[in-house]
Amino acid sequence: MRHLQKRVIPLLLLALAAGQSVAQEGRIIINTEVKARKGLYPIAVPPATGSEPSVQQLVTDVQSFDLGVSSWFKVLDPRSFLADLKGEGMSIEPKKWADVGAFGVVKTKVTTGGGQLTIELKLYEVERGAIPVLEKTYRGSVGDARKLTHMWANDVVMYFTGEPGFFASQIAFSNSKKIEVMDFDGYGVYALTKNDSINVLPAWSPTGRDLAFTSYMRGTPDLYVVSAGGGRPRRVSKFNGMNTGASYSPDGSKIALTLSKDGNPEIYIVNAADGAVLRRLTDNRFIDTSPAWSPDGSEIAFVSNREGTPQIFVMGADGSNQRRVSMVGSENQTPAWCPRKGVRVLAYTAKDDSTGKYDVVTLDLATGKITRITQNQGNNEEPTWSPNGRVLAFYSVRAGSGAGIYLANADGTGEQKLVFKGEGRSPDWGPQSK
Amino acid sequence: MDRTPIVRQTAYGMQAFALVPEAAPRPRSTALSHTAGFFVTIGVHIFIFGAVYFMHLADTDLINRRAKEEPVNAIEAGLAIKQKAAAKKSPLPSKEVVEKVKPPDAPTVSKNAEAPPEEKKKKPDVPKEAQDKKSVFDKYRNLDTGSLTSKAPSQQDANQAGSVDGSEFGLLERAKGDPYVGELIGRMTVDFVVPTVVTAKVTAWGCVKLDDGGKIAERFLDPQHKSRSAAFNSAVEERLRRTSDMDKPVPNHLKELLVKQGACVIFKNE
Repeated sequence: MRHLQKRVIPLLLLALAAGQSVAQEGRIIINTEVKARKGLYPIAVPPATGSEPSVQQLVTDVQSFDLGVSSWFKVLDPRSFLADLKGEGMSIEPKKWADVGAFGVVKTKVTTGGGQLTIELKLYEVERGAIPVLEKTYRGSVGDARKLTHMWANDVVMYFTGEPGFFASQIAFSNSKKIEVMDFDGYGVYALTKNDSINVLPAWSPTGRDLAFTSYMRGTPDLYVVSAGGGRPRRVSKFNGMNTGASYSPDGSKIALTLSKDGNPEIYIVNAADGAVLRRLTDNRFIDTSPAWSPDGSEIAFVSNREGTPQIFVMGADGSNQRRVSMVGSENQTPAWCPRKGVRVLAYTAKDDSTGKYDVVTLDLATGKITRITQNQGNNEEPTWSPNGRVLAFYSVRAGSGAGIYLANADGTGEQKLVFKGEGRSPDWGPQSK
Repeated sequence: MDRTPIVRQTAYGMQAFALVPEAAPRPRSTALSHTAGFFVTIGVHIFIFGAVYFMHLADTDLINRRAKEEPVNAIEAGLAIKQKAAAKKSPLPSKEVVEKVKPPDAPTVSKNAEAPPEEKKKKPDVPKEAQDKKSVFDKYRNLDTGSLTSKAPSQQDANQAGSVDGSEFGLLERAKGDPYVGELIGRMTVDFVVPTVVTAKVTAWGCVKLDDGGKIAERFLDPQHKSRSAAFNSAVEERLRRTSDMDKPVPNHLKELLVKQGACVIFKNE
């Protein structure tokens, strides 16, 4: 009886006192509201093993970069690893990895022979033990090492999130009058235009096969379309005045375009194949420009100075219901829609009136919430979304690192990565290649 | 009349062509009017320069007189106000910064191989939001100098707001009645981080057992109540791994529970 009293009274007191706590199986079980913060998934990418050190290093570096920039993962510093990497081989000792705070581990083995490359990869979730949760083997030529590793990184993102990654995508931009294309991580840069004229404002078609851009190659600013692989550009729109700022409709059949054929820049929809005007969307004495088609094709964001300064407006794809959506700041320009399904978010360039500098912000049209992506980092302009809508690329001019294209998480968190050093104006992030 | 074609460059770099009429010879009568106009212009300029000069003289005189009348600090104050007004506040929201959390203390190391390491004396790691100013002040007002819960607390103590030993968790709902458990929960749950890859609604029970001295003897996920998300389970395990030892020994009335059975928190991702 005394023993029972000794045991039950404290339990009863605690249950009464803690409100939500209960005693079960003789333990204190606290069912309280634990305030959780969202964070990144800590993943370890130990150096690849194999017989070709340079390829091993490249594969390890590409994996670390891809996962680190994906907005989902925090790649742990290899110097903190406690595991015996040689002894482990392609397996893991879970406790050693848990002790350094790793939730996941990627093990890689690279073998080469006769110019052929084989990359064997295993993904472990430490909590599940030494059984890999994802295993893949990729084969190709040694020159494909980067591409094969991007494919693996996409598979890892898909495993954890159910969303495709963007590591096989490209970014087009305007560099010193030329249109250039690079892999999203800054590698494999090539010039798409070969003329000496001014070529600006590239825009990917939804399939990623073509790019539209404005060029002065025949003396006037006309709209051209060229294959993403290169070739001879085809002139699509050649109205008097400007033919600029193309944005493809999601089905690729139409292009929203700024034309000044009647003297004042207005937004039109033209046929993507032959440039024939299908509809005029704006009609006023002010400047309307920079159209951006929403991912579901129902709306178009654009810039207008009809209320005094350049601001972001949204209208139906038929030109109906034109309304201003940027309410903060004296100048807001270059809108880009987040391609993610189920969200209505715009990224754009906003002038910070306190500093006179330009910064990249996002605006949630459902809630009106503005999230600042850059601050006190020079001028940051012309954002474009990754194909999965998780990361933004933008052109930035900063003291120290100079001008270039940077990547940043679309929620404003994390480190920003410089992927192209130089004049990378008007970047446009293409779709994930199949 | 001959018409000469000319070429102009527009703002967009386009070339426009136009034909303009050739200029006709100037009539004699306009030469006289041009001369008169020239002298009138000169006269107007002299008048304006004269007016500006006299205004400047008058201003300088006024400034000199004021400087004699007003103390220097009045001018300095004026400058300070001007400077303050110049620092404009950005209408854009600031970039969100994740609040920094103090990392757990590193274990102490003994220099003598025979002797155990000395324990660090430190203040309890109390989350800001859990701090209860009233009970912090009460600590000094109603300090109980008697032995710490050598017997089970009475029902009255348990339901009383605040705590018998003045714990900073005193007024928290979850800690009413027993500050020791309240503090342990605080240590187990502070700065719980869930990876964004976890989107499912899941729960997992994270548990600890203490030794008599209040140190964490065991940290574990209740095997019966793990979540189906390995990432979430890892997040709970990581939180338990970072749970620091209690500063005080386990009170007698809690030994049976905390030392032998342990305490579990239900972690949720909602």
